[in-house]
Amino acid sequence: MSEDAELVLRICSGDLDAFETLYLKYKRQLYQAALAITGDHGAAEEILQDCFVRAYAAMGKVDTSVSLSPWLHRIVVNLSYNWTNQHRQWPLALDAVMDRLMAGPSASPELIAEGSELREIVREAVAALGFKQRVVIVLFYLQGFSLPEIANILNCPVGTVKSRLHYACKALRKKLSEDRRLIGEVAYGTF
Amino acid sequence: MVRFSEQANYTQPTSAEDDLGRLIRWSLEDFKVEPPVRAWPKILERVREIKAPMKPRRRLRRALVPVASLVQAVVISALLLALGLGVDRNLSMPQSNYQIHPTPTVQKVSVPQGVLEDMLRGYKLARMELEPPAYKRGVCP
Repeated sequence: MSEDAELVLRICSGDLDAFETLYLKYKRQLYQAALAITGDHGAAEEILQDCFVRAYAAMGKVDTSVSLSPWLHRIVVNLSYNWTNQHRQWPLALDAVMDRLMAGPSASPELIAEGSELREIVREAVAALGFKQRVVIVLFYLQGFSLPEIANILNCPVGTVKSRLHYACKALRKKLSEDRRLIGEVAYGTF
Repeated sequence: MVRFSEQANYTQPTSAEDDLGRLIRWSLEDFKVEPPVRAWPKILERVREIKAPMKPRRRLRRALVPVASLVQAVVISALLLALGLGVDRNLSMPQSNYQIHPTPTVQKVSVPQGVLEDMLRGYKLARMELEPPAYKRGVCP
Protein backbone atom coordinates (compact mmCIF):
# COMPACT_ATOMS: atom_id res chain seq x y z
CA MET A 1 0.00 0.00 0.00
CA SER A 2 1.35 3.44 -0.92
CA GLU A 3 2.00 6.17 1.65
CA ASP A 4 -0.89 8.24 0.34
CA ALA A 5 -3.29 5.31 0.45
CA GLU A 6 -2.33 4.62 4.04
CA LEU A 7 -2.85 8.27 4.94
CA VAL A 8 -6.25 8.30 3.26
CA LEU A 9 -7.36 5.24 5.23
CA ARG A 10 -6.22 6.82 8.47
CA ILE A 11 -7.93 10.12 7.63
CA CYS A 12 -11.15 8.29 6.88
CA SER A 13 -11.01 6.65 10.27
CA GLY A 14 -10.88 10.13 11.81
CA ASP A 15 -7.12 10.49 12.31
CA LEU A 16 -6.39 14.21 11.98
CA ASP A 17 -2.66 13.65 12.51
CA ALA A 18 -2.67 11.74 9.25
CA PHE A 19 -4.40 14.68 7.64
CA GLU A 20 -1.69 16.99 8.95
CA THR A 21 0.95 14.65 7.52
CA LEU A 22 -0.80 14.88 4.17
CA TYR A 23 -0.91 18.66 4.48
CA LEU A 24 2.78 18.88 5.31
CA LYS A 25 3.60 16.66 2.37
CA TYR A 26 1.77 18.68 -0.27
CA LYS A 27 1.31 22.19 1.15
CA ARG A 28 4.42 23.66 -0.48
CA GLN A 29 3.75 22.40 -4.00
CA LEU A 30 0.09 23.36 -3.89
CA TYR A 31 0.72 26.79 -2.45
CA GLN A 32 3.40 27.51 -5.04
CA ALA A 33 1.12 26.40 -7.86
CA ALA A 34 -1.71 28.60 -6.60
CA LEU A 35 0.66 31.52 -6.12
CA ALA A 36 2.17 31.18 -9.58
CA ILE A 37 -1.24 30.96 -11.22
CA THR A 38 -2.94 33.75 -9.32
CA GLY A 39 0.08 35.90 -8.48
CA ASP A 40 -1.50 36.79 -5.17
CA HIS A 41 -0.33 35.58 -1.76
CA GLY A 42 -3.68 36.04 -0.09
CA ALA A 43 -5.45 34.16 -2.85
CA ALA A 44 -2.88 31.37 -2.78
CA GLU A 45 -3.37 30.93 0.96
CA GLU A 46 -7.13 30.91 0.59
CA ILE A 47 -6.91 28.40 -2.24
CA LEU A 48 -4.62 26.18 -0.18
CA GLN A 49 -7.10 26.17 2.69
CA ASP A 50 -10.07 25.50 0.43
CA CYS A 51 -8.15 22.77 -1.34
CA PHE A 52 -7.46 20.83 1.84
CA VAL A 53 -10.96 21.32 3.21
CA ARG A 54 -12.42 20.02 -0.06
CA ALA A 55 -9.95 17.18 -0.15
CA TYR A 56 -10.90 16.18 3.38
CA ALA A 57 -14.60 16.20 2.54
CA ALA A 58 -14.03 14.09 -0.57
CA MET A 59 -11.46 11.75 0.96
CA GLY A 60 -13.88 8.85 0.83
CA LYS A 61 -14.21 9.12 -2.93
CA VAL A 62 -10.53 9.33 -3.75
CA ASP A 63 -8.78 6.64 -5.73
CA THR A 64 -6.11 5.29 -3.40
CA SER A 65 -4.35 3.25 -6.05
CA VAL A 66 -2.58 6.36 -7.38
CA SER A 67 -0.75 9.35 -5.90
CA LEU A 68 -2.88 12.14 -4.50
CA SER A 69 -0.71 14.82 -6.08
CA PRO A 70 -2.57 15.11 -9.42
CA TRP A 71 -5.93 15.09 -7.66
CA LEU A 72 -4.88 17.83 -5.22
CA HIS A 73 -3.38 19.87 -8.04
CA ARG A 74 -6.61 19.55 -9.96
CA ILE A 75 -8.48 21.04 -7.02
CA VAL A 76 -5.95 23.88 -6.85
CA VAL A 77 -6.25 24.58 -10.57
CA ASN A 78 -10.04 24.64 -10.36
CA LEU A 79 -10.00 26.95 -7.35
CA SER A 80 -7.43 29.18 -9.05
CA TYR A 81 -9.65 29.31 -12.10
CA ASN A 82 -12.58 30.44 -9.97
CA TRP A 83 -10.44 33.06 -8.30
CA THR A 84 -9.07 34.33 -11.62
CA ASN A 85 -12.61 34.66 -12.96
CA GLN A 86 -13.61 36.74 -9.98
CA HIS A 87 -10.46 38.88 -10.08
CA ARG A 88 -9.80 39.56 -13.71
CA GLN A 89 -6.96 41.97 -13.11
CA TRP A 90 -3.60 40.35 -12.67
CA PRO A 91 -1.60 41.90 -9.85
CA LEU A 92 1.56 42.88 -11.69
CA ALA A 93 3.31 44.41 -8.73
CA LEU A 94 4.99 41.61 -6.85
CA ASP A 95 5.79 41.64 -3.23
CA ALA A 96 9.06 43.10 -2.05
CA VAL A 97 9.62 39.88 -0.15
CA MET A 98 10.00 38.08 -3.43
CA ASP A 99 12.76 40.38 -4.54
CA ARG A 100 14.57 39.94 -1.26
CA LEU A 101 14.31 36.19 -1.55
CA MET A 102 15.61 36.24 -5.09
CA ALA A 103 18.62 38.43 -4.36
CA GLY A 104 21.54 36.60 -2.84
CA PRO A 105 23.69 38.30 -0.16
CA SER A 106 26.80 38.40 -2.36
CA ALA A 107 25.14 39.79 -5.44
CA SER A 108 25.99 43.33 -6.50
CA PRO A 109 23.19 45.93 -6.57
CA GLU A 110 23.43 46.21 -10.39
CA LEU A 111 23.10 42.48 -10.83
CA ILE A 112 20.26 42.35 -8.38
CA ALA A 113 18.44 45.12 -10.21
CA GLU A 114 19.03 43.52 -13.61
CA GLY A 115 17.96 40.07 -12.49
CA SER A 116 14.96 41.45 -10.70
CA GLU A 117 13.82 43.36 -13.75
CA LEU A 118 14.30 40.41 -16.05
CA ARG A 119 12.34 38.15 -13.76
CA GLU A 120 9.60 40.68 -13.54
CA ILE A 121 9.42 40.98 -17.31
CA VAL A 122 9.13 37.21 -17.72
CA ARG A 123 6.57 36.95 -14.95
CA GLU A 124 4.55 39.72 -16.57
CA ALA A 125 4.69 37.84 -19.86
CA VAL A 126 3.55 34.64 -18.15
CA ALA A 127 0.80 36.56 -16.38
CA ALA A 128 -0.40 37.98 -19.68
CA LEU A 129 -1.10 34.49 -20.99
CA GLY A 130 -4.57 33.04 -20.91
CA PHE A 131 -5.52 30.96 -17.87
CA LYS A 132 -5.16 27.58 -19.58
CA GLN A 133 -1.75 28.35 -21.04
CA ARG A 134 -0.55 29.86 -17.77
CA VAL A 135 -1.59 26.76 -15.84
CA VAL A 136 0.33 24.51 -18.24
CA ILE A 137 3.42 26.72 -17.93
CA VAL A 138 3.24 26.66 -14.13
CA LEU A 139 2.65 22.92 -13.89
CA PHE A 140 5.39 22.13 -16.40
CA TYR A 141 8.13 24.58 -15.50
CA LEU A 142 7.49 25.30 -11.85
CA GLN A 143 6.05 22.02 -10.60
CA GLY A 144 8.01 19.81 -12.97
CA PHE A 145 5.06 17.63 -14.00
CA SER A 146 5.32 15.61 -17.17
CA LEU A 147 2.88 16.15 -20.04
CA PRO A 148 0.79 13.03 -19.22
CA GLU A 149 0.64 14.11 -15.58
CA ILE A 150 -0.58 17.56 -16.59
CA ALA A 151 -3.12 15.95 -18.88
CA ASN A 152 -4.33 13.92 -15.91
CA ILE A 153 -4.56 17.00 -13.69
CA LEU A 154 -6.39 19.04 -16.30
CA ASN A 155 -8.47 16.09 -17.45
CA CYS A 156 -7.65 16.62 -21.10
CA PRO A 157 -5.65 14.74 -23.79
CA VAL A 158 -1.85 14.92 -23.80
CA GLY A 159 -2.04 16.49 -27.26
CA THR A 160 -4.02 19.39 -25.86
CA VAL A 161 -1.40 19.96 -23.17
CA LYS A 162 1.35 19.86 -25.79
CA SER A 163 -0.53 22.32 -27.92
CA ARG A 164 -1.14 24.71 -25.02
CA LEU A 165 2.49 24.54 -24.00
CA HIS A 166 3.63 25.15 -27.55
CA TYR A 167 1.41 28.18 -28.05
CA ALA A 168 2.22 29.51 -24.59
CA CYS A 169 5.95 29.34 -25.35
CA LYS A 170 5.36 30.91 -28.74
CA ALA A 171 3.40 33.76 -27.18
CA LEU A 172 6.04 34.25 -24.49
CA ARG A 173 8.83 34.28 -27.05
CA LYS A 174 6.99 36.89 -29.08
CA LYS A 175 6.16 39.03 -26.10
CA LEU A 176 9.69 38.92 -24.73
CA SER A 177 11.25 39.67 -28.11
CA GLU A 178 9.00 42.72 -28.41
CA ASP A 179 9.64 44.00 -24.90
CA ARG A 180 11.52 47.27 -25.13
CA ARG A 181 13.13 46.80 -21.75
CA LEU A 182 14.95 43.74 -23.04
CA ILE A 183 16.31 45.28 -26.22
CA GLY A 184 20.03 45.74 -25.84
CA GLU A 185 19.99 44.03 -22.47
CA VAL A 186 19.20 40.41 -23.13
CA ALA A 187 18.45 40.45 -26.85
CA TYR A 188 15.96 37.68 -26.29
CA GLY A 189 14.59 37.82 -29.82
CA THR A 190 17.81 36.42 -31.25
CA PHE A 191 17.55 33.15 -29.30
CA MET B 1 12.83 19.20 -24.15
CA VAL B 2 15.50 19.74 -21.55
CA ARG B 3 14.17 19.45 -18.01
CA PHE B 4 15.73 20.83 -14.90
CA SER B 5 16.19 18.80 -11.80
CA GLU B 6 14.66 20.15 -8.61
CA GLN B 7 18.07 20.72 -7.12
CA ALA B 8 19.48 22.63 -10.06
CA ASN B 9 21.01 25.86 -8.87
CA TYR B 10 20.24 28.01 -11.84
CA THR B 11 21.42 31.57 -11.91
CA GLN B 12 21.05 33.16 -15.35
CA PRO B 13 19.57 31.88 -18.57
CA THR B 14 22.02 31.04 -21.34
CA SER B 15 21.62 30.74 -25.04
CA ALA B 16 20.87 27.06 -25.36
CA GLU B 17 18.33 24.80 -26.99
CA ASP B 18 15.69 25.24 -24.35
CA ASP B 19 16.56 28.78 -23.40
CA LEU B 20 12.97 29.90 -23.06
CA GLY B 21 12.21 27.01 -20.71
CA ARG B 22 15.24 27.92 -18.62
CA LEU B 23 14.19 31.54 -18.51
CA ILE B 24 10.65 30.68 -17.46
CA ARG B 25 11.84 28.24 -14.82
CA TRP B 26 14.32 30.76 -13.52
CA SER B 27 11.67 33.47 -13.34
CA LEU B 28 9.19 31.24 -11.57
CA GLU B 29 11.75 30.37 -8.91
CA ASP B 30 10.41 33.31 -6.94
CA PHE B 31 7.19 31.47 -6.36
CA LYS B 32 8.98 28.70 -4.52
CA VAL B 33 8.02 29.88 -1.07
CA GLU B 34 6.44 28.24 1.94
CA PRO B 35 2.81 28.89 2.75
CA PRO B 36 2.13 30.90 5.90
CA VAL B 37 2.06 28.96 9.16
CA ARG B 38 -1.39 30.30 10.00
CA ALA B 39 -2.94 28.30 7.15
CA TRP B 40 -2.98 24.95 8.96
CA PRO B 41 -4.91 26.01 12.09
CA LYS B 42 -7.54 27.56 9.84
CA ILE B 43 -7.84 24.36 7.82
CA LEU B 44 -8.09 22.30 10.99
CA GLU B 45 -10.80 24.55 12.33
CA ARG B 46 -12.84 24.22 9.15
CA VAL B 47 -12.27 20.49 8.90
CA ARG B 48 -13.52 19.90 12.45
CA GLU B 49 -16.82 21.52 11.50
CA ILE B 50 -17.50 19.13 8.66
CA LYS B 51 -18.46 15.48 8.90
CA ALA B 52 -15.66 12.93 8.82
CA PRO B 53 -15.12 11.47 5.37
CA MET B 54 -16.34 7.99 4.52
CA LYS B 55 -14.01 5.14 3.81
CA PRO B 56 -12.38 5.24 0.39
CA ARG B 57 -14.04 3.35 -2.36
CA ARG B 58 -12.63 0.05 -3.38
CA ARG B 59 -11.59 -0.37 -6.92
CA LEU B 60 -13.21 -3.47 -8.31
CA ARG B 61 -10.80 -5.91 -9.76
CA ARG B 62 -11.52 -7.17 -13.20
CA ALA B 63 -12.80 -10.72 -13.24
CA LEU B 64 -10.34 -13.23 -14.58
CA VAL B 65 -13.01 -14.74 -16.86
CA PRO B 66 -14.74 -12.19 -19.04
CA VAL B 67 -18.34 -12.54 -17.91
CA ALA B 68 -19.91 -10.61 -20.77
CA SER B 69 -18.28 -12.81 -23.40
CA LEU B 70 -19.33 -15.92 -21.52
CA VAL B 71 -22.95 -14.82 -21.40
CA GLN B 72 -22.89 -13.97 -25.10
CA ALA B 73 -21.47 -17.38 -25.94
CA VAL B 74 -24.12 -19.16 -23.87
CA VAL B 75 -26.98 -17.21 -25.48
CA ILE B 76 -25.68 -17.75 -29.01
CA SER B 77 -25.11 -21.45 -28.48
CA ALA B 78 -28.61 -21.85 -27.00
CA LEU B 79 -30.13 -20.16 -30.06
CA LEU B 80 -28.10 -22.27 -32.44
CA LEU B 81 -29.10 -25.41 -30.59
CA ALA B 82 -32.75 -24.46 -30.71
CA LEU B 83 -32.59 -23.76 -34.44
CA GLY B 84 -30.51 -26.83 -35.15
CA LEU B 85 -32.86 -29.21 -33.43
CA GLY B 86 -35.82 -27.56 -35.08
CA VAL B 87 -37.77 -27.22 -31.90
CA ASP B 88 -41.42 -26.60 -32.60
CA ARG B 89 -43.21 -25.00 -29.74
CA ASN B 90 -46.66 -26.03 -31.03
CA LEU B 91 -45.77 -29.69 -30.92
CA SER B 92 -44.44 -29.65 -27.47
CA MET B 93 -47.18 -27.54 -25.93
CA PRO B 94 -50.46 -29.09 -24.93
CA GLN B 95 -53.51 -27.99 -26.85
CA SER B 96 -55.14 -26.36 -23.87
CA ASN B 97 -52.27 -23.93 -23.32
CA TYR B 98 -53.09 -21.65 -26.21
CA GLN B 99 -56.21 -20.15 -27.65
CA ILE B 100 -57.42 -20.71 -31.18
CA HIS B 101 -58.74 -17.61 -32.85
CA PRO B 102 -61.08 -18.29 -35.80
CA THR B 103 -60.00 -16.81 -39.13
CA PRO B 104 -62.31 -13.93 -40.14
CA THR B 105 -64.53 -14.95 -43.11
CA VAL B 106 -67.18 -13.21 -45.26
CA GLN B 107 -70.51 -14.81 -44.64
CA LYS B 108 -73.26 -14.94 -47.23
CA VAL B 109 -76.40 -13.22 -46.06
CA SER B 110 -79.66 -14.25 -47.55
CA VAL B 111 -81.60 -11.32 -49.00
CA PRO B 112 -85.26 -11.64 -50.03
CA GLN B 113 -85.96 -11.52 -53.76
CA GLY B 114 -88.24 -8.43 -53.57
CA VAL B 115 -85.56 -6.34 -51.90
CA LEU B 116 -83.06 -7.11 -54.66
CA GLU B 117 -85.53 -6.10 -57.36
CA ASP B 118 -86.26 -2.81 -55.57
CA MET B 119 -82.56 -2.06 -55.28
CA LEU B 120 -82.04 -2.75 -58.98
CA ARG B 121 -84.92 -0.52 -59.97
CA GLY B 122 -83.62 2.30 -57.78
CA TYR B 123 -80.17 1.96 -59.31
CA LYS B 124 -81.56 2.20 -62.88
CA LEU B 125 -83.59 5.29 -62.04
CA ALA B 126 -80.64 7.02 -60.46
CA ARG B 127 -78.50 6.29 -63.48
CA MET B 128 -81.04 7.68 -65.87
CA GLU B 129 -81.16 10.93 -63.97
CA LEU B 130 -77.43 11.31 -63.93
CA GLU B 131 -76.86 10.63 -67.64
CA PRO B 132 -77.25 13.69 -69.97
CA PRO B 133 -80.01 13.40 -72.62
CA ALA B 134 -78.80 12.20 -76.05
CA TYR B 135 -79.61 14.72 -78.76
CA LYS B 136 -79.89 13.92 -82.41
CA ARG B 137 -77.50 15.73 -84.77
CA GLY B 138 -78.71 19.18 -85.84
CA VAL B 139 -81.61 19.27 -83.49
CA CYS B 140 -81.46 21.64 -80.62
CA PRO B 141 -84.01 21.85 -77.88
